[in-house]
Amino acid sequence: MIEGSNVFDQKVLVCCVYGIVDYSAQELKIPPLYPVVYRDIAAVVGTSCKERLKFDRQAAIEYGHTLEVLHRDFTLIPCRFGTFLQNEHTVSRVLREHYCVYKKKLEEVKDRHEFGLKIMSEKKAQRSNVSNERRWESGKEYLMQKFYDYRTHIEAGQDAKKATDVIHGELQRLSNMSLKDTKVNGNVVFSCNYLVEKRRKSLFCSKVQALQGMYPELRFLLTGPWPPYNFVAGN
Amino acid sequence: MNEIDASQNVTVLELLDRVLNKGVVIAGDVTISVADIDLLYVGVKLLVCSVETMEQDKKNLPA
Repeated sequence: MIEGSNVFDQKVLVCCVYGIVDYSAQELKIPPLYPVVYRDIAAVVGTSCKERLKFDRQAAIEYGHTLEVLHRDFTLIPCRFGTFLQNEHTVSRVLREHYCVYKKKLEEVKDRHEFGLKIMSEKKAQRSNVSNERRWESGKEYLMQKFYDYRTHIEAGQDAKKATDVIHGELQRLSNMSLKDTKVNGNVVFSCNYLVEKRRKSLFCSKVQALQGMYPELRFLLTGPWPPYNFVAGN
Repeated sequence: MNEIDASQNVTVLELLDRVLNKGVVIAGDVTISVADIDLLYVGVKLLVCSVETMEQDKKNLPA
């Protein structure tokens, strides 16, 4: 988001806040970003002029990659893309006023990764396409097929629910926290984010792989490790 | 689209979903305007819209 060129020739400067880190162990070395320190925590910021800020897809992706680098070296509370404060003094004030909240959050996510898991039901998707591809000789035949599709769609959903309940239970045992996404649609039957200890990363991934083997009719999409985006909610 | 491309696209979408919609929101006091639309509002809360939503909003504005 921050351009590398000289930004000091512009009039209105703002601080872009990338995240808040535990700053007790090591120093930040990701120029042009720098820390605004308060006690043992710090906000990682970059300075830019308002007119030169970028808000396109590429900037958002680069922002995400920067957070991944930070997450590798620090315990991190990631800030949402587009978090700006007026100046370093304001950043310091925010850290001072919310120190206890940030400290508690940092403790919660310390040495932990976020993993996202989405599960798709291939069966559901395939069956719903059948009636669209055929030619029908009568309306009755068409309606019967539609009814059959509907019934199999419901049954597939019920089967998937049973399976995902088991899967979720297994993965919860390996995670410290989980957040289920209640709004799933299409052929996605399950979506959840897990907060997993770094030392259990391989175990968690192997477990997902093993579960995929147990449920070949479902398609698993595991992403991560991410910084703990979903586990730092609250203003 | 081959499987690797698809997988990379999914990862990018997951990344964008996270950086635009998740993460902590800090109370701010700066107004940023992009394409004449205020992205952040002064004083009380720092409100962030996704780029796509913002661009869509701009398109939907009456001429």
